[in-house]
Amino acid sequence: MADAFDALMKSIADEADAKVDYAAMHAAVLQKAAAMRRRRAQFVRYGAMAATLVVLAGVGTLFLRARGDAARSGENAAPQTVEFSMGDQAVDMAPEGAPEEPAPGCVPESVCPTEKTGDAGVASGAGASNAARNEAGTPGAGISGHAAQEPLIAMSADELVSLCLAARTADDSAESALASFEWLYEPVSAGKGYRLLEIAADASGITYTYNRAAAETWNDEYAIFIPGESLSGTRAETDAAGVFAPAETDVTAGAAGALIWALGGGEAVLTPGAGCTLKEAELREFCALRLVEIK
Amino acid sequence: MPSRDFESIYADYSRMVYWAAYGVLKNESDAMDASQNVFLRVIKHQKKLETMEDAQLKSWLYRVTVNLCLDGKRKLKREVLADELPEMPVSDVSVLPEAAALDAETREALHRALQELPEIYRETVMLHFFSELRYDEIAKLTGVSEGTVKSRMSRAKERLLALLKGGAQHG
Repeated sequence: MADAFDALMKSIADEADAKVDYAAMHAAVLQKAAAMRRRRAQFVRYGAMAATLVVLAGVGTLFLRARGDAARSGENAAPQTVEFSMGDQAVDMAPEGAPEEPAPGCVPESVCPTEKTGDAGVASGAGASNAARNEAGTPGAGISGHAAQEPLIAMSADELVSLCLAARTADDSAESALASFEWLYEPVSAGKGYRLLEIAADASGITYTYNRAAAETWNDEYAIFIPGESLSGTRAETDAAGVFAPAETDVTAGAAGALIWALGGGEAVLTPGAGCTLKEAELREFCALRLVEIK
Repeated sequence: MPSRDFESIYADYSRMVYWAAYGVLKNESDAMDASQNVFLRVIKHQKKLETMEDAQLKSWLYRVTVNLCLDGKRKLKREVLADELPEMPVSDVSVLPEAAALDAETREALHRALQELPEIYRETVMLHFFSELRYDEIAKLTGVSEGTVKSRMSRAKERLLALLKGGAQHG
């Protein structure tokens, strides 16, 4: 009876499968892949052009600003002199017995930062952006054992890939672990993504519970479950799903849902912090996990 | 270490991927779209995948498929109206002799019964008969023991038979 039933089910399945147009699906996949490659090539081409323009504009702005400042400092020193020169000013203004004047090439003080180190106020460009990221992402948004290190937060899919790959290839280094965890978070100021609510672990695996920002409400709650078996040893290391997972025995759950991971360089604690979000789309793409919707 | 290209991955696993997607989405065109996206991921991660062991690759494909489907399902937030497997060809029935026609009726009834199975049993049946996975493979993919898969399958069959009998009585 069971054999007959199995045979019947099998024939139904085969019959249904025969109606699936796998050739068309194959052709569509290749077509989409080619389109993606084209878009990427265009992005690289136009992106490079845009980057060049930005760099040129930046250089131009700096040049103009430096000239403006030089001119202004000249005006302050000798506003009524039209044919003003640095050498003249130095001679005219220097009191007798004064120390030697600075070399003509020196940038005026108004342009130079007064302190080169330890002054957050002078941070600019990428530094400022990093500082903003870190401020939003911490405290409690990373691994507390590495507070002194600069957090690595993925802000784009490409960054995320490189961080994940780095984490997976750099073996036991604390930095790699840091990279692999930090990408789970994104400053809430980004205004998108998923807010991590809780991380809990037991013998069967680890569950990340989060909700998503849909129309500025946080009413849907989801959880991602990482089975314990995917956390164990070599399998996790060779897992292409994208999760950096140390051996199961190295992971323990601490108080308040915090996870403690024993790393090559010591111990790190992953604590979900308020105001941090989890980017689910990226998580899904690079780490194929099981998603469980909590009803 | 096995080494495979996209074509061989597609040839070996397209059926599994499609029916895994169908099992979640319950709709042919959505399952087709989801399967295409899965294989786009395969192209994207080809270097990593080409040296994977079969079991590992299968697991990766299944998880990506299910996640993509769940993601798409939630994003679309739409009601799936066509919650049934593809219709059986009617023309076949009309030309069949009586015995075969009875068989066709049974098949159709079985088809309908399959839709009425609870998700947990339906998934097992779909993975085994449609995606052609063995019990041990289903166990690995769904994160349960092989014994659990077997018992689910056994209960699924019992329920299907019960549904068939019920249908016959009503009919």
